[in-house]
Amino acid sequence: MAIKFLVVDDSLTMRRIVVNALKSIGYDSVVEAGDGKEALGKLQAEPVDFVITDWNMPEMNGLELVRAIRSSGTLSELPVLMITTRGNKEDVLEALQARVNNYIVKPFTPQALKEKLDQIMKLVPITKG
Amino acid sequence: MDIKELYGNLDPISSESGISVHQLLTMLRSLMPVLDEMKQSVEKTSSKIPKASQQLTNVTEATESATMEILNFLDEISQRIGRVETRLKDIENDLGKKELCVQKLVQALNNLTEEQRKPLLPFEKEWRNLIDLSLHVTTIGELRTHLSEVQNISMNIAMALQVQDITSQQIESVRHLIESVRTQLSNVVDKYEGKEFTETLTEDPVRSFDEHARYNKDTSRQEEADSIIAQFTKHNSSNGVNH
Repeated sequence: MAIKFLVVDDSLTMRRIVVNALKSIGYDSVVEAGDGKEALGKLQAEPVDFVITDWNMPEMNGLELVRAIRSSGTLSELPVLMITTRGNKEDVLEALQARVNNYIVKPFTPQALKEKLDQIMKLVPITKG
Repeated sequence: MDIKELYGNLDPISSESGISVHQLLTMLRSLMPVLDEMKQSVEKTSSKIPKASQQLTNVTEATESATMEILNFLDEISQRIGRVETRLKDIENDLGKKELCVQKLVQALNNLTEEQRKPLLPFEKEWRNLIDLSLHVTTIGELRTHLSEVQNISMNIAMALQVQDITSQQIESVRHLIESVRTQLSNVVDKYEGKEFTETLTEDPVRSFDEHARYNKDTSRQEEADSIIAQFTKHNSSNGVNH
């Protein structure tokens, strides 16, 4: 059964690019959300195996989304990869403290995405939702 | 400020500068048209900012729309390449099977005696053509390699379009700055007119941005992030914290 991704970004362009990059490395099962709030709604409505999220978003940003996931009983172990323009040391540390599993600074390549997904999947067993 | 208070403020200036209060008041009165002109200029400048702000929003919307079009075209190219690749693979497989048959046929022909071959000599050209099938298989392999490279280029173009998201964040940052200038200008005008501040900078809930966003393919920022992640993970592992 295919791994199902939730791609969260307020930029339509970035969502398309991330989905294309996922397809290019063999992952076809993707749902999308425009911000953290919508993402939480999707996570409650359907099973998802992996979250890829941006940081800067309206309503609920990526960091708040990660915190909400980690504090949720059922979703707390869900793997989360953050893809963001924020590349400062303080930002990376803040994201790690919120317990993101890995971090990509934009602009990214499909190779970098594959590398990070492989790293996460090696450490975090994907529990099929 | 009432007259009494005004005199109270002007008295020390008058005694220090040796200019009479009357002279000071005349000077202040002469300044009024200049201040009014400045106020009008500030109001005029301030009134142009919403239009500038809207134009920046329009730029972002236009580039996003154009980027979507480009991504649609790239998707179409990718799908067509996929179809051609599948077809070429089918042809390659088919030719491979035929090549095996030809090889068997050539072997059978080689086993014939000179006498047995004689009736087949007029068809020699056709045999040679059949044997050349292997060349076609090689050519198809090369074509598939080229197609795969075109597919990679198409993906690289799509990835380069991340620039739209990054520039839109930069534009949004500028828009936010000019909006804050407008707010400050409005407050200056309000103060001049003796009003309470009426303008506060309101956060636009629809847009969010990173003011430091930049399109840079230099991998140093990612390497730095990776190094922080490695240190963080190592530190947590040694402290028995799951990450």
